[in-house]
Amino acid sequence: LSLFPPVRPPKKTSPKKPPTKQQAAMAEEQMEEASSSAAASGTPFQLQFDKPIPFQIKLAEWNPEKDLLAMVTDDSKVLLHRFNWQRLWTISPGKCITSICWSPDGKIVALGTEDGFVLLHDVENGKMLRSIKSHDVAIICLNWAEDEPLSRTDKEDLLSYEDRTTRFFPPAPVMPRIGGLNSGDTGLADENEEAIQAFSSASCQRFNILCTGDKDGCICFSIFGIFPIGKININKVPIHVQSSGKRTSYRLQDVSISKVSLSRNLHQLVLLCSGKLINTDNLSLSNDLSVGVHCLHLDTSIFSNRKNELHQVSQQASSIQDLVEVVRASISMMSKQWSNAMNLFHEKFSALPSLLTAHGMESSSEDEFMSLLFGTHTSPALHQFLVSSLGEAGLKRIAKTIESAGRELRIVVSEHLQPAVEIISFRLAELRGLARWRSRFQNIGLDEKLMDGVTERVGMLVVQVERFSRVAATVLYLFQNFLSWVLKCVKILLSEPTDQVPSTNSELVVIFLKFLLDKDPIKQLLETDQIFEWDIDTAKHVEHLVVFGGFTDTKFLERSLAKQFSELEESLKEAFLMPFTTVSSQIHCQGLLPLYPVTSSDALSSTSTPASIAFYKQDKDSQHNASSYSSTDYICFKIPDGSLNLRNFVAVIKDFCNSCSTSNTPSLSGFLLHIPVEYECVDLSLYKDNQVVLLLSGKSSSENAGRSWMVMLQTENLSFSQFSRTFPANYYNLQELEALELQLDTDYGKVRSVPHPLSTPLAVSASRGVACIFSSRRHALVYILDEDEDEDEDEGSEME
Amino acid sequence: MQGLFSRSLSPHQDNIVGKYESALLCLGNLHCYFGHPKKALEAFTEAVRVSQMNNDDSCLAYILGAISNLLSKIGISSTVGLIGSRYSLGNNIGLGTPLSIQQQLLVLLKRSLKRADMLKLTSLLSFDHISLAKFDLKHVQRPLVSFGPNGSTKLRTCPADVCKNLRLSSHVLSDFGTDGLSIANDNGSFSTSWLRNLSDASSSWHSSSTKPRKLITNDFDNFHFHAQPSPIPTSVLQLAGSAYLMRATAWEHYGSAPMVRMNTLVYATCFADAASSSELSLAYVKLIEQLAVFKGYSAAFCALKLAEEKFPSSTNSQIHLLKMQLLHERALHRGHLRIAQQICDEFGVLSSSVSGVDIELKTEASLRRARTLLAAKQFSQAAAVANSLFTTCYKYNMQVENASVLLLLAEIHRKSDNAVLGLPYALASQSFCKSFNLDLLEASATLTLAELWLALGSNHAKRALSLVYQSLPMILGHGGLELRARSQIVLAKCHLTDPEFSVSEDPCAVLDPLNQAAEDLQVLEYHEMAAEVYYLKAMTYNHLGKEYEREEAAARFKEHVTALENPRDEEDSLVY
Repeated sequence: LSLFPPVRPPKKTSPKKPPTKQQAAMAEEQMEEASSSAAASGTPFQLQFDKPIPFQIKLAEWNPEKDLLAMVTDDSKVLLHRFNWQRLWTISPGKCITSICWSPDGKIVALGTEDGFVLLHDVENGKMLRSIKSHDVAIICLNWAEDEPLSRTDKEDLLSYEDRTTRFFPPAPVMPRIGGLNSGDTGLADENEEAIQAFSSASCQRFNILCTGDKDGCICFSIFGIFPIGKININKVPIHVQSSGKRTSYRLQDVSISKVSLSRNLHQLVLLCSGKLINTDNLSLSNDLSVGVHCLHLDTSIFSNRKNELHQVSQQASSIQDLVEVVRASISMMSKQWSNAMNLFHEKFSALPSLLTAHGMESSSEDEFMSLLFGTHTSPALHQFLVSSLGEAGLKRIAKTIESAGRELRIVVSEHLQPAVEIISFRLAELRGLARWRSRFQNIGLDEKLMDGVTERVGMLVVQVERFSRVAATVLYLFQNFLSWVLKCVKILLSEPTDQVPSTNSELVVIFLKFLLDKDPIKQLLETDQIFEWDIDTAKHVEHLVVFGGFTDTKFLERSLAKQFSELEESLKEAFLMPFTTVSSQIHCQGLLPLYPVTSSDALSSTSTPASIAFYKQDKDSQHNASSYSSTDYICFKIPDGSLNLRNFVAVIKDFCNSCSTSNTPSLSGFLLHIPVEYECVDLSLYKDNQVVLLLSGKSSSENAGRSWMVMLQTENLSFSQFSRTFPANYYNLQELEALELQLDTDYGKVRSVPHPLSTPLAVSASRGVACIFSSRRHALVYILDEDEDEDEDEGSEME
Repeated sequence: MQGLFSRSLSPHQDNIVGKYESALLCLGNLHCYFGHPKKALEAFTEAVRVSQMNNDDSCLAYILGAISNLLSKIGISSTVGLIGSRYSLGNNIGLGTPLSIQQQLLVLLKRSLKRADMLKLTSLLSFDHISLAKFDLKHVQRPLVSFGPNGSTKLRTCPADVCKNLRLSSHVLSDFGTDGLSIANDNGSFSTSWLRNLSDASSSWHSSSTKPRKLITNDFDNFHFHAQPSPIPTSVLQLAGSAYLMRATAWEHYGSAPMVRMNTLVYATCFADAASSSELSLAYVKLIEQLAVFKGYSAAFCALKLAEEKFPSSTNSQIHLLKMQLLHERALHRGHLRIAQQICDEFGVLSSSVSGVDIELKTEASLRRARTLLAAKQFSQAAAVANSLFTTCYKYNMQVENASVLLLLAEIHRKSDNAVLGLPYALASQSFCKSFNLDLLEASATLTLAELWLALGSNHAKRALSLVYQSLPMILGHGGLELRARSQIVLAKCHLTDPEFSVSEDPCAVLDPLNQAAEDLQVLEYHEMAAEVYYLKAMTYNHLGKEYEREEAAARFKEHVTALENPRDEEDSLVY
């Protein structure tokens, strides 16, 4: 049903899988052939097109599944382009966007804003699906990682769990809309509804986690991008470093996170951040040099070890949160609709009570009106009021307004409120069941007691909804009865025939006059600050029910519907906070590697220093166990000029994570790459199969100004040298590394010159084999990185 | 629901519903209620004839509804049956009729629904929706006509339809004003009650305004004593309430204990004022059942006493039945087999044909007999009873009961050390449960399957463990104390029999479930299983070399075994 069929040739319909070892090796071979042939022709990357673009692009990211490129302009517009550069949509979220990433299935684009919001937008139409405030300051980086199917084990099939809700319930209700069915643009609204539905159902198929890092050193994790599951503050994380048998504790201060990356088995997280490293054991050791960019390795094994549990819990919990929003919207909409109708009614009828008192012939004001009831006589003032100031038309208008408000109320209750509450209670019951399985769910913080409390509260909410619908039905009926009675009276006064008016019950009119004219029981139930009186019989009945297993909180009938709802929300919040704090407390720092120092003056700009982190599947680990696989992390970054006394250098290091954990794994290694002096590195990115793509732009001072190069290096061809990760003897071990000269005419990799001065960003798509670069003269250029990709794919599919 | 039909007979409606056909309709309903289906059918046929003669569409629609109501009860008894336990899964849905009647019922219901919708008879509409939900709960809706390979037959019940129908039936409350037949009666009943309340009401307003806490009186709140008489007819309230009761029953089938409790509580809280005594007592019975299953017998009997005060037992068979069920279960658990046999005999008397044949009660009685025999280790007799029960259920097409009978058969074979014979029964039960969406029963069938595999030898421990893991989320979430304890025991056993598992490495994997089970069984007073738990515990501690704990567990084991083998104070079992 997607609006965008793949634009590339049709044979590539099969979703791209990460290539296996053999495929990778084969691809490599082919690539070498290709590169040699391309070297002969001199143009290794085919230019797909070169289009002017009227904006300055700040961020760009390829969709992982479809040929779509999302870009953020300097003035924070978001553009979505197809591969053929057709623009699909543009949105302006009205906030300064600081980061962007795609969901792993490519259906949602996540935007991080300067004020700490994560906005999730639908790929189909750019509509905002969610806005979640998880940070207080600007979100600098986003990373959305999906659990790989390859990493599944037998044990997980065994612990499979079915979400029974779809079997037992029709589709969940959505937010009620103002205007109901008679609004003109239902088609559009329906589409939106479907999108939201699709979002909540489709995005929960596979377990994925969105990591967001902000300027103040906080990292938040949310499952499916919507259910917050953890938050850690790097400033507060103790870092223990084992150096020459001695354990030293460090802490980072004034952290600003510039890059996060979660490995695809969700086992480890690598992040780059700037900050001041402090030795907590010996504070005097810190000096100017300790301010710098550091690389941290966090152990997130809780996500991979407990992914089934987390998946199940978050699947239920996020749907519950959705439905809670539906209930909230329903209540606020009902109260709005009803108060509108009541305002009109009171506007017209406010004169009536005083009129009755002033001109009443009898002692009681209602008696006057009641005398009308039996057609005895009316005072002139009342006559005047009914016939002239109210009039038949006015009366009919009021009747119509109240009737339509009543209809809305009825629809909202029966189609939104009641189903939503019903499904919430079912899902909570399921969650409570999970919470009972203590050995599995206690260590992700699903608490049985708290869940019991929430289940109890939702039961009370159901009672309140039932009470509300009953009061509403009664009141609406009385209104209807009263208004048609007044209409009849007016007709009698005007000596018109009354046979068109529906028959009325005069007793109910009396009740209406006595109890409804100046009161509003519906409104009372929709306000939070009301406390209701209730009688002794009911109290006894409710207490009696406790013996039968009823609600232990016998005071719940005092509350209004809105109050009960807010209590439910509170306890839900409390219950869901438990997993959040439990999971957060289980994320630890495993290793630290100071990369390079920054002087405090350029500390701010350091966040924009190009850097890239990627995880590649490890080449050889088949000897242990086929089902487990580990990955190698590659970190590639530009060293700012002057830092470490180096100029124009790019560093690539690998095996940082693995070297943190055990001894017999490959140890930390890397190399430095010296860029020719007349060029500077604009941006860089890691690409598939351990390759690095560099963008070099000629320096304005040199004769090469205006000329740029795009370089793709196969890191395997370059010599990594090991270096020690022990410090503080010498904070920055990077200096030990061997420096290689990058020559643009060698066969390290593939090189192509670009006749434009380039600017950031560089967007490469590993799954599609394309790169988009932006010139500072507002051009967008798309290059095909893998000419032989199609063949590669064919072989890939054959192997499957 | 009886109120629905009597309502159409109010004298002022004679311009819409003729008096004679209304009387016939009423007569038919009464016959149906008192268990004379033939006479009821005669009355209905006559009513149809008369109303067709008078072109009385609304009455016809009502008659259709009434006939479908009759059909759903035909062949079964007159008692609005409630038989509830984990094994019979019983409730007031009586459908033990041959397939043809079921198909007819569906056709009638749909037709009645269509007419009610056309004529805007909201009460009837709601009634039909509830009946349809009842039907969907226990039957697979097959297409009436299906040709060729395209006629897809999904052999499962459709719970979402039940939910939809129940939601639709709840609309009756908000739409009561538009019912074509309901014309508010102007006979002064409102004024009377209003006048009665008036003085109290006004005085309470003054007093409440002086209270320090600001209390609001909501005059239309049914929880407020001085609330004004509601214009909503009682029959409408009853219908709206039955939807909740029906939901509770549906969840009993589908297996969601908190939903059963919640819906019953909503009924008991919100609709107690309008409910008929049989429906209200049904709600209480459901609550007490929940208590017995989840909180143990002492809590349940405590509540039962209160319920008996509320509903004098002479008039209410449901409470009486519940009492017998609870006593029987407790006697079985305590090992008081003589008492259990005695209660079984009582069940047999109740289900004998003196007061009309209630097939559900009959099923229940033989199910309990088989279980008593099983507890007395008379396996072949138990199997014979269960087999004949299965034939009966099969004959009357009681698929849902079939599942529990098959499970019982599997259980009998397991206990008689015939695991291989038990396997097919357990598998059959499982597949029945799957197609009828009986999730909790399915989980317990899966558990039995695991036990059977485990009985086949230690090399099946892995398979058994995976089965237990499959069933655990359901059982822990929605199963009662007994089922939970059983699953914990099986879990521990799986670990203990697994040759690759070593207790000393991971003692918690065994001890945690056992402790949990011991806790639950303590509440349940289930000696046989408690003894098993303590035996396993003692063995585990022995492995771990913890002698003190081992001795303690062994002592508890002995306690339970002696309690089981020498049932003292058996007379206690009839007292509560």
